[in-house]
Amino acid sequence: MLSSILRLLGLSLSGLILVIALSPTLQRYLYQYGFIPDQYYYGDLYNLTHLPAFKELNFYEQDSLTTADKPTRRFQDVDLYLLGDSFTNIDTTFYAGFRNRYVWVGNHPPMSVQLNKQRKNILVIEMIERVLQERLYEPDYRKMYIDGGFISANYVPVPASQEKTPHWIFQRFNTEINQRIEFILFTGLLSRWCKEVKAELQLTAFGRVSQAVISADHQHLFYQPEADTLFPTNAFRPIAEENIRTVVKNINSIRSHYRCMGFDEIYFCFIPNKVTILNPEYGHYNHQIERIESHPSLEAPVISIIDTMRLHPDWYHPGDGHWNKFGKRLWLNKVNQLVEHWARVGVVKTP
Amino acid sequence: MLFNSLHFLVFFCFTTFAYYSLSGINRRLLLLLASCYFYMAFIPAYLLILILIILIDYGAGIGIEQLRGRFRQWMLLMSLTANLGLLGFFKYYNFFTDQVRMLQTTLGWGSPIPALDDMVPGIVLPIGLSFHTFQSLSYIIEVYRGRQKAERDLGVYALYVLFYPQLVAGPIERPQNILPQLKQVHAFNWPDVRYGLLLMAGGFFKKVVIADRLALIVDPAFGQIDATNGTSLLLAAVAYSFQIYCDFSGYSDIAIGAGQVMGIRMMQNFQAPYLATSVTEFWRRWHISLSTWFRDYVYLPLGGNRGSELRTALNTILVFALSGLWHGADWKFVIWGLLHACFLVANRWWLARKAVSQTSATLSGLTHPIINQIITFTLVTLAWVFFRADNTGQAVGIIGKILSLQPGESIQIAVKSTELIFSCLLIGVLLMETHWSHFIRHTSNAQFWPTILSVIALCYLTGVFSPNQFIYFQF
Repeated sequence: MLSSILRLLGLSLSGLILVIALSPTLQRYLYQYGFIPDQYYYGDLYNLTHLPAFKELNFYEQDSLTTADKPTRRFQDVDLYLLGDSFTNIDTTFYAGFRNRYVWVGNHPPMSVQLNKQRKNILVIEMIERVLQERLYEPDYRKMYIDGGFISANYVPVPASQEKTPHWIFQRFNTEINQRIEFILFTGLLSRWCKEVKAELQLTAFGRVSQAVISADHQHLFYQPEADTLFPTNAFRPIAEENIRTVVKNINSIRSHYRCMGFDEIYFCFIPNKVTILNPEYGHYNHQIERIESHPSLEAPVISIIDTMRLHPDWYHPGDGHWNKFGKRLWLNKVNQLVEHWARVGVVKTP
Repeated sequence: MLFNSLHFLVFFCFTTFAYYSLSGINRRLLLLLASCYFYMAFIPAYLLILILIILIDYGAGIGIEQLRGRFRQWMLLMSLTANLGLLGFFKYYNFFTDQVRMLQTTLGWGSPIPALDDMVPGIVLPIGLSFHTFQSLSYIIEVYRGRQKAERDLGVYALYVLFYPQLVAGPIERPQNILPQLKQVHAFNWPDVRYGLLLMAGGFFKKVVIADRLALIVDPAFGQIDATNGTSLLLAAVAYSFQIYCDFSGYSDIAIGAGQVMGIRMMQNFQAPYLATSVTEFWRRWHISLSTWFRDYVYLPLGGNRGSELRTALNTILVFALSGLWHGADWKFVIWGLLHACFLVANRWWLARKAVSQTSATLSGLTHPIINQIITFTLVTLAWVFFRADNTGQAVGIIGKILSLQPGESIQIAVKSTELIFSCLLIGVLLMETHWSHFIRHTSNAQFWPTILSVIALCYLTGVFSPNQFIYFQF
């Protein structure tokens, strides 16, 4: 009798977990209703490493903007468009344009827009340092920042190489299934404690951390792609001048494309990696952002924030690879100042 | 689906609970569906290839049994062509065209033959193709030889090929062992389940604690040969010998254990191979299911050791060259196989001499078992360098560096010294493997729970959880 009950219980539990793991939709639903804990609650780097020293108990407090950060004034004759990533995935009500549109490049589909020629249309493109050498070459830059950004209703994207959308059955079996099972099973208090014990042991005994890089003084955590020298995107890999030239050329192409589409100006903002600000001496830093921003061939205007960020290393989360609310405020100030500047230009265009 | 993944853990629990909740034919159906699911977790479409081969071999088996004379041979030929043709297409086409292209370039002939990826973009080798092809061939040959009745139940035959624990990396089973077991209804037997679970736990320990930890030493050294000195490469080569053993035998233990949990006993694949006192003995202890496959279906039909010394040596060389090619379509694998063939031929010659002059052999220090074990391990490690290196040139470079190492060179490894010491301790633990095997066979219920919980805790706390595949998956 007992063995039958145990068997039935085991069967139901494992079956249920398998079904949930195979269905991202069901998992999202359970997460929404609080059945699965938020795995980013203490920061994404903490979630990867589980080092207790980097557990930010007040993560959301340090991350969230408040209504006080919203602009006091909206500028009627400026429309603001933003292409960004997880650093700038902010509610668009925080921007001072009349119409504010945001696309998370690579994560969301392109947005079809009809520019209002009565107003000034400003586009700001934000990129994190670690993706510059990955995304700003052919064909990726075109695919991500042109075909995957803002498109006009009649824009026909350049046909990409024969890429097929994976069949639903492939999507179910992709590598993320293990991650989904881990979220279902091992995000509770006890499993978190176990993970912390393992992480501490691993760091103390073997000097290793999982899926992240720790500074020599064990004070800072970084994403592997930005600091681990085995990754081609790390900030300490020498970049040839020719590569910088190509990146600049492609930035200019993106700008030309959007100018042709009708935007008045296209600004670029390169957010420095966390390691660039907190631990540039981790290796021989390649100064990629400064080299792009000061390149004589660069035609696009830049919103430079690297120097300000260097003065405020505390604007990055300790347990996360992103900046905190102070970094976000810097971004908002810079962008909203730009909107104000264009509002002051004051020339209303004729259609 | 990797054995060292959470997906497998949940899948295994569900399949096992469901298996013991069903009876008779439903169990077979469940195992069949579960095995399809297991295979589809890699590349779903390739299941169709496997199903096609199953249908061909199922039909060929019945045909061979029912037909007579030349028709039997035609059926055998059809099955061999289908199995080996598929293996050749996926695994050896690029190797073949590379050689032809090189020849064309040298001689300046014609336009180059297209590579497989040019003809079918995105095509990859179906996982475990070499394993299930050999298992299918084993069935067909045994039926042809009249030592196995053709299986009439398509479901049972399909399960013989698809049975998930051994589907992608063996053990390469014989039909006489597995087919009857698949037809039986295995009642829940707690001692069997207990033994299977402990075997699996031991396999996980070998994979995540030892093999993947040693990969931290091996991969950076083999990845940056120019920047690594001879001493460090020697250390990496020795570490690789243990890494590949723990990786592959760990896989086999998990596979055999998973089968055992369901009451299905599979053949032993490893037997402490590094304790072998000769390369000949090493091959009786390493990847037993493959070495016996080559013995039964290639070496013995060629004449085995029944002919002259020269003929026996040639048979050995041919079998090991094929064994090398079975592992991968690259000259480095062929050289690995040929090296082993040379060691075996030399070993046979040595034993023949020893038999003639017993006195001088006894006087030689080389007859001491420990010295013989060290020599065998050194030779096997030397051959592994070809196996692990990216190509033959790199392997030669590594051996050159190792041979020219300077005494007192510092060890350049990517891990802390504590990690290295711990790795050495773990290698020491491997010496107690035979005791572990004995212990888990005879463990009592009272010993089971503390043991399995301790192994799980050790795996969790000291395991290296990287997305490393099992090395033998690539074959």
